Order: sequence, then C-alpha cells, then structure tokens
Amino acid sequence: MVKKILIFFFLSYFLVLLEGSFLVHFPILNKIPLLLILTIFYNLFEKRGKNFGISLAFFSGFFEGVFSFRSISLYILIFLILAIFIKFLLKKYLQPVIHLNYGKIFKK
Amino acid sequence: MKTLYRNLILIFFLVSLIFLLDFYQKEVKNFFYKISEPIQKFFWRAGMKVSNFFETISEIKRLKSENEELKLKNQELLSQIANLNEFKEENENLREALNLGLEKEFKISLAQIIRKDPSQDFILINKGSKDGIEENLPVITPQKILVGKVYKVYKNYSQVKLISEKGVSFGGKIVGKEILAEVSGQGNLKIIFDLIPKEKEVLEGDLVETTVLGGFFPKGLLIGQIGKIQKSDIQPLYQAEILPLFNLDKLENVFIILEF
Repeated sequence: MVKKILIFFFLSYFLVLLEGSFLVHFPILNKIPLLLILTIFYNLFEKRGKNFGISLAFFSGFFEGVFSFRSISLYILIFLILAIFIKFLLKKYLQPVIHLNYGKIFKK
Repeated sequence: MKTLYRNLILIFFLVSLIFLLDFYQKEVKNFFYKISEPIQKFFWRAGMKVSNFFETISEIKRLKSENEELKLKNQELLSQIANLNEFKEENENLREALNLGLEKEFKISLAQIIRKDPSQDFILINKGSKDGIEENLPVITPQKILVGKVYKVYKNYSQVKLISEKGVSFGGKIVGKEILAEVSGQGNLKIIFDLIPKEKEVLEGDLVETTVLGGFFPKGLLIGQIGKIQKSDIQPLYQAEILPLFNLDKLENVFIILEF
C-alpha cells in the first residue's frame, strides 16, 4: 500500500514537471493535462473496492496546485471531487451492469 | 461503526491538511520550486532543444522564401543605416550643444525562466525576495522588450504575470507617432491595442511602446508590433491586435527592472 502511494507521489511530481517545463515547448502537447487524464483513467479502470485512485487524485491535485498560480487546496478539491464522482458513478450505474452481463455470459 | 469513525477521522485529517497547505502555501511552494529547480531547468532546456529540432525540419521550406525576402529587406535596411548614422552624428552634436545628459540606465537583475504555466500567461523565474525582487516590478527581455510584471514573490522565486494575461491593461504609444491608447491582455499570449481614436491612423507593422502614463512601466520599452486592425465606421474608437515581440519558447533569461 505504502509502495503504491509512493509511486503515485513521484509519478504526479514527475508528470507536473514534465507538463510545465518540457511539454510547454510543443504546440499541441502543451494543451494536454497529463495529471487530469491519468487521474480520470486510473479511477475509471481501477478494480472494484480499491480506492488508490483517491490518493492519486490527492497527489495530482497537490502538485498541480503547487506548480500553478492559484491556491493548492482548490486543485486538491477539484481532483478529489472528480475521483470520488467517478467512483460513485461506477458503483451506482456502470459496475452492476458489467457484473450482470458477466453473469449472463457465464450462465450460457 | 468502527469503519465510520475511521472514515470520519480520515476526512477530518484530510480537510485540516488541505487548509493547512493553503495557510503555508508560500513556504510549501517555495520548497518544491527549490528542490525541483535542477529538474525543471533540465526539462526546460531539453524541451527547447527538441522543439527547435522539429521546428527546423518543418520550417526549412518557409525559411528559404523568408531568406530571400530578408535579403531584400537587408539591402533596404543597410541604406537606412547609412542615413541613420548621419542623423546619429547630428544628434550627438546637438546633445553636446544643448548640454543634455544621457538617460539614466535602469537598475536591473538577471533571472532565468524555469517554468511556464501552459494554461495561463504566467512564468516562474529563479529570483525572489532575497534578491530584492518586489511585486509589480517590470520584467523585460535582454532586448528591452516588455514581458510582464512580477506578480507574486517567494523567497527564492517569483511568478511573473505576462502582459498578455487577461485583465492586464496599461498605456501604450505608437513609436514615432502621437497615438496613445490602452494595451490590454486577452489571455493565451494575445494582446490588443484598444480605444484608439478614429481620427488617428494606426498601420499594420507599427511598433508599440510603453508610456509613463499609469506609472506601471518606464517609458520606451517595446511592447509589440501592430497586427490585424479592427475598424468600424460606426464606433468612435477602434482596436488593433498587438503581436508580442518576445517568443516565450525561445526565451531563457529575463531582466527585472529594480529601479526606474
């Protein structure tokens, strides 16, 4: 668990530096919000019942806030709300459907 | 019940941490800027080199035709230089005759750009309050082109708000003409020369410089070149696009004017 959180911490840190110091020199790539994409996709495809995506959202928001020109808490809250919202949607609407379909396939 | 308590404590801890971070924002940001500076410098230089390489490949064709155009322009400029030299001599003689002193030089400090916010018109430079940097000081390129002004100062670093940032506005003047109007940032490196009186004629390619009006910047700093002009017959004022003279992707160092 600690290993995974540390990986998220350094990954978010690396990506935010890459975003602001390397990719800014390229016309299309400088518009890609790497941390936001990573947070959305990780939370979308994370195994059911696991909540590591939330910690990724926290670190992404934290580093996005540190290296942005606005307040840190604003970004942390945006990323956390986004991650929790994705988890909520998956739990409530999408995953029951997927599990139901798996059930049908295996019965056949 | 146990899980509920655990979750409540966790939420409380998180909320407190978030607010604490905001409270010690300056220290936290300064700390991370400091430990990241070598990596950011490395990335910035690597990014510049890689983008230059790709630009060179894609722009060879364009450069060929531009080269021919520039050769012609060069000849034109050479003849202008010859004329200007004559004027320079005349000017120097007149100055001596009128006993005028040379203009006061600015007190400046050199800083390096280490980060640019992709979504906003801000840059981060490696000089802060310990180097005597204060808020609202003008920032220029080595060619004396206005870049922006210091927005927030940390101990070792400062955030610079570019003149293209939305909400930035100050007085500007067309070089060589008595046309004063407002320079206004539009975001995404776009600037406009706004509120130009209809009877004054601004031409594409005219240079815009700062004035002493407003007291934000010293006079005579170049801002940009006039691009597209938007004129309407009905309105008494019109506006024109200003093309910035600095290229942020190629810019590595800037000067902060400490006194003017």
